[in-house]
Amino acid sequence: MIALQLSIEVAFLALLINVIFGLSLNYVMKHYAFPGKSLIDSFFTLPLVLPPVVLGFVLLIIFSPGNAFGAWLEAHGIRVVFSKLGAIIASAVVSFPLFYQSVRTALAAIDSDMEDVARTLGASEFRVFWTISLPLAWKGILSGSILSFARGLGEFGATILIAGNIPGITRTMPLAIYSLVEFGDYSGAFELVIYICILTLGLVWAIQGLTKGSLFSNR
Amino acid sequence: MISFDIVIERGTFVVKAQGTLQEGITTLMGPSGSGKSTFLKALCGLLTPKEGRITANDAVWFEGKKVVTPTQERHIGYMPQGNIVFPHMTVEDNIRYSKQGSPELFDHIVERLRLTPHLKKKAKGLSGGEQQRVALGRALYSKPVLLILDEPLTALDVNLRAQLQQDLVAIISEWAIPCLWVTHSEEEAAAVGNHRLLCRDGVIAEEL
Repeated sequence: MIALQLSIEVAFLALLINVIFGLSLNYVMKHYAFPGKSLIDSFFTLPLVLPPVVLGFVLLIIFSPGNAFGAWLEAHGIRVVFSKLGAIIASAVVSFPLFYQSVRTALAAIDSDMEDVARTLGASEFRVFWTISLPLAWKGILSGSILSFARGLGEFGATILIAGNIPGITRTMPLAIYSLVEFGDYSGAFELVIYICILTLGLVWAIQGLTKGSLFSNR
Repeated sequence: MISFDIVIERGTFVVKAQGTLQEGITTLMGPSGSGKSTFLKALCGLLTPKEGRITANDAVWFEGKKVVTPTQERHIGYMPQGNIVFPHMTVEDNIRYSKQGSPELFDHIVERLRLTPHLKKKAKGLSGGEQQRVALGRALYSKPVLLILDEPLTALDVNLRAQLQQDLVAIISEWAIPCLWVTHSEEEAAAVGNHRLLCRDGVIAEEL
């Protein structure tokens, strides 16, 4: 059960990072035109297609205390490698595109006349985004959050590289299942598999109900 | 009075517009795709003309190639075509969206547009005619110097159309501001407006 709690905690904190960063990035991408915009868009979508192990390796290089940035973080009391923070970062990076792209699609589907009317009524771009665009894109935000959270729950490859497999600290559900199978404890692994299946199914089902079955439509 | 003499370029499509909007209703007629919406957006500041000049009374909105007054400061009550209320907000929040109005103005608008029973309802639940009245109330609450109505009666059934047309004409006359009313209907244009602009092949000018 510790692995289950840890997975939920890691996936939730990763989601929090994704919501803050994903909404901010969407705001910038929607309102500003600049050279290299599509390259940035592709860059933040990359984790969707790259093998998680590759992402984990890149994160390991960035945050390793043997390198400048990692050493600087360590000097300020922040340890990423082989820590819960590492698992959260790995989970956030891998699941980010699901949130980002889902919100982006939902924002693009909004009737731009609605936003134009708000502008003529004196609203700043930020107020238009906050009071018109985001509320109208709520289904995209919700579906992106669920997909991102579920992906975070299941994260394995990047996590094991940067955070290791430390019981009670970084051993999330997928890592625990892997460890149990490695030790031949199939019934223990099966129990965890059931938990994770019920959790994700229950989550998606509940939210489908809240959005009247149209969760994965754009608006 | 609003005065404009502008050239707008959108790709290969060019719109030239010249004229004035006096107090009262000026209708704008022209076939689909002739440049009406482009012109409306340029007046609102939602797209930038290639060159020209737009003034509102003593204020300059656009001069040469430069936006002098951005959309947010033009005080235009813009009602685009179609679904135009903020569907996720209540009627009250829709009307109060602009920060320009006062509580007295709010009370007056709500009473005048017969919206009092609907104030706490979500705007998306209202009928087409009620939504148009909400959109008009929201525009008036911003104390506009110009009202733009893009085919305000198109989405309504025939019975509602006559009633709303009467309402709009009466209210615009009370507010004593210039109003640009876009329509496809010759009959509607004749009934609501004294002045007329015509849009043909990207040229918008007063009817001779």
